Amino acid sequence: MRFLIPCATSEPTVYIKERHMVQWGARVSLMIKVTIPELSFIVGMLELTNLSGSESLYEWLKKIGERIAELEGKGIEGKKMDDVYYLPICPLASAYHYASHHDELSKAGLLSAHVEALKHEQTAGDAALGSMLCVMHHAYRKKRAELAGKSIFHLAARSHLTNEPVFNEEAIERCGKKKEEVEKFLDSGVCIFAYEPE
Amino acid sequence: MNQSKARRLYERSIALIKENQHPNGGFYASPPGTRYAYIYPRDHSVIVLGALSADLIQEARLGLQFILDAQKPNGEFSQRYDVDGVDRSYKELQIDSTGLVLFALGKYHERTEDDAFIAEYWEKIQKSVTFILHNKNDEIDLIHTINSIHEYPAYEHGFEIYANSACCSGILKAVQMGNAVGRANEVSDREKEAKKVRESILTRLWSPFLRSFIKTIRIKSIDSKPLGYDPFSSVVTDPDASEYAPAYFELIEDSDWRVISTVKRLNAELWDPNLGGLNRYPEYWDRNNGGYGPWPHFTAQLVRHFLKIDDRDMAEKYLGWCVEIAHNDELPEHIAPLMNFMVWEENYKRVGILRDDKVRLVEQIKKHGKWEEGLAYSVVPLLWPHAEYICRYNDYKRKYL
Repeated sequence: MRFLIPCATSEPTVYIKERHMVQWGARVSLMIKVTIPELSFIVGMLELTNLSGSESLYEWLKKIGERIAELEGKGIEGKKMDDVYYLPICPLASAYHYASHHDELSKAGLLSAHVEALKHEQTAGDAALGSMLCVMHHAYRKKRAELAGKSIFHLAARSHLTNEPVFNEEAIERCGKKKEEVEKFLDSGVCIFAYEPE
Repeated sequence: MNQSKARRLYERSIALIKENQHPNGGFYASPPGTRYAYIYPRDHSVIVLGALSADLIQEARLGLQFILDAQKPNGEFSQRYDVDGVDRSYKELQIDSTGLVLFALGKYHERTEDDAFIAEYWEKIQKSVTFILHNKNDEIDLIHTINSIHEYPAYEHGFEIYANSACCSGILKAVQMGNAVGRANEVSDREKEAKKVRESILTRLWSPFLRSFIKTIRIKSIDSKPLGYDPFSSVVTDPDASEYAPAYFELIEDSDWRVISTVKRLNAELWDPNLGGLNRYPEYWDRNNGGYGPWPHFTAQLVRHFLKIDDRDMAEKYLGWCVEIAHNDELPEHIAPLMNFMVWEENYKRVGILRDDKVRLVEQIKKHGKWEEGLAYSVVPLLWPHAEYICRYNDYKRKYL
């Protein structure tokens, strides 16, 4: 199989037979874009959904979050405002360039499964789904909270694609709050959650 | 140097350390209600060193107990913790913190010979050494990090001198502690690795052309092999106060000409021409919350060097500067002239990155007693410079008073 790997110079394109470094004059072509690891993860989510269904994707993301949390140990995230915590940005959506990659895949006609369409029966302990990344993030945060002797409830998030608010109404009710009250916190951050005990 | 003011600052520094230790053992980086009301392992370790210097042995022991109990499962110490030892980090890896905890623990052990304490925490000590060595690159024999003493990846991501010196020294202290508690067979390989790192610091992070230690070999990924093809590969050679780290962490004598030459360069290029005191790095690096200006912590650090080489004039110039800028016997993180403060504030406002916590910093600076005198005092008191001051004042007193 031949791979076309363009040089980042004005010199002629290099064709190589195998996918490893090949010296060409004084230069080596290594053109794997820095965004490919993040893109791979998003494409991986799509393909896992195609292969095994959305429930498998959900469980897979949860397991990833929990395993990483076990490595990191006990921890608490966010900034406190009244009796809830918030994140001003979503670190995962930002690290994975989620919206722009999603858009890129969509425009290229490669979104054969739409991971955002997943409907999961929601309990108070689940994530408010700003995107599928919230499943992983919430599982990570929940495990780290548990290790610190706390419970966590993900009350609301902003969609990583549309910026619209999304809620976990079970969690809101469990924390004795009102949806309107939680929605106001979304003016300060994109992810709202509560720890117990505070 | 005004000796009575110097003594008063010393007494106040000890009081501040005591006041800012939570009953659980953690030392706040700055008091509750101020900007850094958490336990930062880097600051915390330096405060432990200050406590040891001031004979606050029980406080130091409790502080070490707190931080060792907060260790992450992989052996790392995070950016910061709350008073219950729960990770509250918002920044990525800063491996110097892990080295510093081992270094402070080693100094505690040297001082107290408390073998029982070391034996109790031996597994944790080993875990931290393993974590550091996990981040060692065998091509260059240096430790990789994302952040270091300035928490500034743009200049610290890669093989950075403060992180490498702290980690190398931390491992060597762990080896000494292991030997003392009958674990010699577990540490001999680790000693070999630490010696490789030391050799690499003294050669790769030394510039014969500049006659100075240098800041960072920028490398994005620890897994880049060979390093020359890493997308970040470049070298930061600018003067930075942290280039004194090989001597501070006892990897090389202060009388070594390489240290003398490095400090001469730091003094020539970072001593502030207007306010006095040592800046931490050049102004054009351009990340100076509260405005560009000198830092008492870094200024006090170099007092150690001048005392070691018996240069009393310079030691008094540097230590005396800390004494003179203390306001009500409290030291800030750093100070800046109003113009620098305003340039910083305007820049951050204009581009929309003046976050809430920085807005509060601005408010606190403007309320401080020195504002009317035309000076911006950031984060007062900061415990780290007080701890460094305690160490250096005691060194000075032992030598000259």
